[in-house]
Amino acid sequence: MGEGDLPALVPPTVAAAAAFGYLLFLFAVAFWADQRAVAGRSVIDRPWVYALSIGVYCTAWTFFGSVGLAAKEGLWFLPIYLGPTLVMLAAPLVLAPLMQVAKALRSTSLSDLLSARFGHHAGVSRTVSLLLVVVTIPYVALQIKAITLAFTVISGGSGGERARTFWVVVVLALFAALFGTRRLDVTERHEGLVAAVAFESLVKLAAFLFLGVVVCAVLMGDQGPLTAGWLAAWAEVPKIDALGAGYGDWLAMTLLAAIAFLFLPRQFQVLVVENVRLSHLRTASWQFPLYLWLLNLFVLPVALLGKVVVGGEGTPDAYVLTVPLALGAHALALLVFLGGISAATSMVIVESVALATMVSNDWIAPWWLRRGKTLRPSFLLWVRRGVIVAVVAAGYLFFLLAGGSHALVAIGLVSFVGVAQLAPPFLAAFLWRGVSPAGAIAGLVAGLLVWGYTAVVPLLVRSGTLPDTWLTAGPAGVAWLRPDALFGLTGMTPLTASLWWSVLINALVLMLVSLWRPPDAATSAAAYRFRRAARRKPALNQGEESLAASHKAWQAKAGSDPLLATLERFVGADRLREALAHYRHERGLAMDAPLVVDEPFVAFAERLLAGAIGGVAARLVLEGVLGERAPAWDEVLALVDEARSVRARNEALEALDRLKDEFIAAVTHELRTPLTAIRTLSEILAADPQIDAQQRQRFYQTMVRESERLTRLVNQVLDLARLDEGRGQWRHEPVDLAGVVREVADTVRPVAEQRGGGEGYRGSPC
Amino acid sequence: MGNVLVALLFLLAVTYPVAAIPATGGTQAITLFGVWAVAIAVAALLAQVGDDDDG
Repeated sequence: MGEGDLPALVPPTVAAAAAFGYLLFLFAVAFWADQRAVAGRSVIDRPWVYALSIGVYCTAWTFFGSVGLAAKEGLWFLPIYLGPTLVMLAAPLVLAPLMQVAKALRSTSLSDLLSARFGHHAGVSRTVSLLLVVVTIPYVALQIKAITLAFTVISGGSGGERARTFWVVVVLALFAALFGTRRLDVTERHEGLVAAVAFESLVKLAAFLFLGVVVCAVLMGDQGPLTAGWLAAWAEVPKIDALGAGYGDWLAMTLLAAIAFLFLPRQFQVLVVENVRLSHLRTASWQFPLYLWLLNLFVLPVALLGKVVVGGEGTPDAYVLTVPLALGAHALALLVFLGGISAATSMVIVESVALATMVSNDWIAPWWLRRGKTLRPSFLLWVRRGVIVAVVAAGYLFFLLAGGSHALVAIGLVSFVGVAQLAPPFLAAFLWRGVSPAGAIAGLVAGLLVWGYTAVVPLLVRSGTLPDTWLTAGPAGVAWLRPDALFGLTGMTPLTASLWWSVLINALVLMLVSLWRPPDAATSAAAYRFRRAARRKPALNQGEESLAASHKAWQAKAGSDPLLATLERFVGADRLREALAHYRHERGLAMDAPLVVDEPFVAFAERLLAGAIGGVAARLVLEGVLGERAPAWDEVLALVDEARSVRARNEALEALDRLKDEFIAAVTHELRTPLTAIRTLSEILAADPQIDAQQRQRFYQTMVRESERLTRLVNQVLDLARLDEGRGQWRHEPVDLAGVVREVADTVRPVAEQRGGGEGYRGSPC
Repeated sequence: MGNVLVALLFLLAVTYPVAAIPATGGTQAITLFGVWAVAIAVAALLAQVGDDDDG
């Protein structure tokens, strides 16, 4: 029997009322959590709540698709959960640095975090947010398809599927928009949302475990054809490598799931942004894998029983509903239905909130601010609501175009490959200093294009939107351009091939463009701060982590009031009060001490604001409030160059000073030589009146000559001063070098003879 | 380092040994869930030790 032929075991109105009531209950849970947070008793400040909130990873794909895949391909539903388990087991190496740097830089999204590595480069953040919106759309389509399928099956639906899907989309969009942006204080943490998501994870798990227990009880209680059929199906579960795809694909799928787990927007939201304490990660490192283990424990038993009781007549994706319905367990079917609704709604809410934050922070807020407009929090909230509705609408469009005829898992994996495009730039951000913003952007764009061609185009072909010839003969008959066997590569599943080509080309383009356009000084400085932040635990007032530290903004003449007013507008009075108390405590300030707009305070404000509106917009707002534009990096570098120039001039002056000292020493020495000669000869003449006339005459001549030499020296010094001032003129004329030497020798000879060394000069002819 | 070692061994265990030892898909499933449970238990133990260190 197909799902369209099922009797209306649960009336449609009951199913709709149950779903609606459940959604209202989620509002109540969120409201309760928010109230407790206001009262200072946070619900989400518990490791197990954190671990449960990570369960948002398990969507309708898990709830319906895993059983469907297990029925068809055995264990191939598992890599999707082994990957996240791997990440959580290796959390200290993989997740902790990511969380530390995100917390230190107050990044509220993946785009914010990656752009912070490049000095809050707007192009990088925009590219990342655009990529994530595009690759998430098939995932949203998956949820729409799953909810529609669940409604159809639970209510024994016949016909009207299109209208049902439309109303599912309308309710989902409105619920996500209202639930995800309930509060006006747009802060980075959503207590109510996380509490509701954790509650939904519990519902999912409870529904699946109940189903599994009932299935096992039926199998153990029934000794007839049901058990025999199940045991026969168990014996025929295909081995992992039995369906063409080998262990290489198994490993590739595991790693793909690990990467997607890290870079899915909703995972980043609950893992990093909503994390209250880093220490919760340690507990979640085993609690979340345990959650996945429990959730998957009964997948294979349910799938095998579905093959026995439903057979090939119903879609395997609906076995979780058709099995309890076939067993007559209507209440259980309704519980499972609510579990499926939980899985889909939690994914859509958190994913769309994360995407809306990125789009509003990276695209709309900076654009709005650059136009000179005032950014009001209420405007920002409406923008986010609009983005949420647009994302769900785009998912609906994708569902209409390509999603109708595919299994849930096939659609989800396409999104996973798209999300994996973030792996190269993030890996490079942590490990390679040479990566540049241009390289990261080019790599992401290339990866996105290859993903679209190798992963999305085959989906569109198989759904009939594009002609079959794209896959059979290649576009325009070019076989090596076939999207599922690009460049003739075969031997792996089309999805693994898509992962391989898209990530490879992404990484290659990133490297080549980064080498061609290397990072500038500003990017290198941001990279240094980024890596340093990854190595140590964050604190609220780490001024050096903020680019505000490099600004002159802290020199603003404005007091703290305009800044505080702006902060209050964006983060709310309560959050600001709490943050200021923390700030004062960290800086050792009294609680009533006046706030000084100094460098640490601006850094604090920038991070607090970035938590609400993103790094790029936060800086634009701060520059406006502080009344002076922070210097751009080229200006900073110009200042550095000027400082270098002053230093060089200073060194030149010091060298001149040393030359002047040497010159004075040399001149003094030169003056002393003739003076010594004159004085010595005078003393000889005075001391020995009997000296013969000839020698006396020679002494007098020497004294006259030395006097003339002294005069010449003084004149030469004066000439040098005039030349130095540019007033003198050089006059070139021949010099009798032998005569000069002779003069010198005659000058020193008497002294030498007196000291007994007069034979040293032999009158070289020169 | 303990966590990283567990993660590497887990990755290895859920790939090749699971492929080599069991004869059928059903026994592969049991082996996989067994390996998975052991990895979770070891991770829980390591987390406990880490808590003690912090304390």
